[in-house]
Amino acid sequence: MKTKRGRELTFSYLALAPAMVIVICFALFPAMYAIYLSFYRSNFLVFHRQFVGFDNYVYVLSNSEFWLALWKTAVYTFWCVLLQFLFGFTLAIALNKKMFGRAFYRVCIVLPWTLSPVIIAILATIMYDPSYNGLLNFILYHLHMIKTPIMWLGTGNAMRSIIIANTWFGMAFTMILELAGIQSIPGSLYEAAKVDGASALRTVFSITLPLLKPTLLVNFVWITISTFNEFDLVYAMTGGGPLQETNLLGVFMYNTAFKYGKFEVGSTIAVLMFAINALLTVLYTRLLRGTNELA
Amino acid sequence: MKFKKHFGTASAYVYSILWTIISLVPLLWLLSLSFKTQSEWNGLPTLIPKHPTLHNYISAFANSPLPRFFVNSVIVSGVSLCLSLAFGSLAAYVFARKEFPLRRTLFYTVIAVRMIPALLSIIPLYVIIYKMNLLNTYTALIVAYMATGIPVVTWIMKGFFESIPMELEEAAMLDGCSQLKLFYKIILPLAVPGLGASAIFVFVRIWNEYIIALSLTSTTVMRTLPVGIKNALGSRMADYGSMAAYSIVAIVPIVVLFLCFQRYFVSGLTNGSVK
Repeated sequence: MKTKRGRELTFSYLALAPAMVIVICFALFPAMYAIYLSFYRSNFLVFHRQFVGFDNYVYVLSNSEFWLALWKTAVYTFWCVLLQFLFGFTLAIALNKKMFGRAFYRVCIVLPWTLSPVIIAILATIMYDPSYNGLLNFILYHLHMIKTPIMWLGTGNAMRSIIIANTWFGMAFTMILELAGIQSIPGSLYEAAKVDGASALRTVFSITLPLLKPTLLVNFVWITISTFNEFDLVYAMTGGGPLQETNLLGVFMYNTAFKYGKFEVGSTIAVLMFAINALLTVLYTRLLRGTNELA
Repeated sequence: MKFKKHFGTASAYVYSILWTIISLVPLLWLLSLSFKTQSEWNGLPTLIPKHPTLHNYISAFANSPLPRFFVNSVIVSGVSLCLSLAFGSLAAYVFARKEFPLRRTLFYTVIAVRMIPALLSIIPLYVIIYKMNLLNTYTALIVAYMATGIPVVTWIMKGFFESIPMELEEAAMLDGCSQLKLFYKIILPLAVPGLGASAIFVFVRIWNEYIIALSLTSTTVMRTLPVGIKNALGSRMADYGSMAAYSIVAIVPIVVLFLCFQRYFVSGLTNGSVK
């Protein structure tokens, strides 16, 4: 009997080993290392590394560019999360109804989510063509919604345009997750509500939303963090321009590290971003209390 | 009451169809552009090309590194996806079924790793890969992607394994099956929907990944599709025809894979950890 238990243990650890080694070496360790780096300064990561204490943090936090980027990121995150959730959730409810062609609608709506942010950026650049014949301008003009073509990625509009692009392709994630969540709610509850004569809106607010709390938590944490850490889409679409109008924290961090070679300062910004992520996660957990762990 | 019910169904139809159109039109527009000549993309927009041409695709494949990007992406994504599924599901199985010291700690480590953004780990990853002398190799990208893929697979699969009845394993054990064989021959085939859902999630991320590939590779021949396309287009942002053709080439594999696995997708999530 003892040898059987021994064999079980050996199997467990051996089976875990490959996964754990990869995860620890190439995900957990780098994150720790980023924190370590944020207390040092060197020339291009390799030469003359010396401990500087909180100097990097003081440097970043006293830099007005950082606060501007943080503000822009907050605005961007707020609108993207709001719109993604609004459309994603309402679509999940609509597409949970029995209707003709449901599978087709679902697949089509999820398609943009499967594309690379770089491809989305290319697609958006084409759609946002500022001439009369740019598709978006063309459609809006013929629907009489605009009179002159809009410079979508020009000064004053760029932020709005990247929010639209992000919502267009990120929204489906909420839809999938909430659809899965809604399907796990027992149908008998809805029948009971129907018998009691509850309205559709009432049903959503008193049955669907409260029972979805665990899914909502995962959903909000996920979309908030991924929007807050946005890099690819904006970098490929506007590069932070025009005139730094869309210079989000992710782009700011990347440029600081890889364009200007200040890797430790970049690490510091990344650590601060991670701290904000953690804070937001705690905040959501508090708000959606009564839900179990984050897993 | 009757009217209300019809109203609800009708608005669900209108809303779903409207979003289907919003989702599809830009993609169809891209497809249509890729078959158009230069004179046509400057003129009035039409969804069906008037003089369809393969010119954009021919030039994309003939005088550019696009085929190379494609091969790189296939190798890197394919290998890291398969290894993530193999190692991740094995780990999920152990977490779901076995009792051993440090079980909770190790499990939460794997789960917590999902919260680490690529932006945080990219600089250290660059240093580590540099020290290991692996910069600009497939291995570098594969291990980096496995580190993001394994936690997702473990997370989704654990719920699946927990829903499989114990008796099955006990019976197989009595037949003298080895543990590893038991897992791959009996347990894993039962969790195919979970594997399908995990595969989509992981593949979508890896195939489309930009910042890691951008930082860990440096020469044109090692670039993956997203990085390669972004660089190739940097110089010709106004050349809509080739922009579209390049994009379509990158989109096709993921759309095909998605359509193959999509039936597992929502059901996979419903039965998995998200419930």
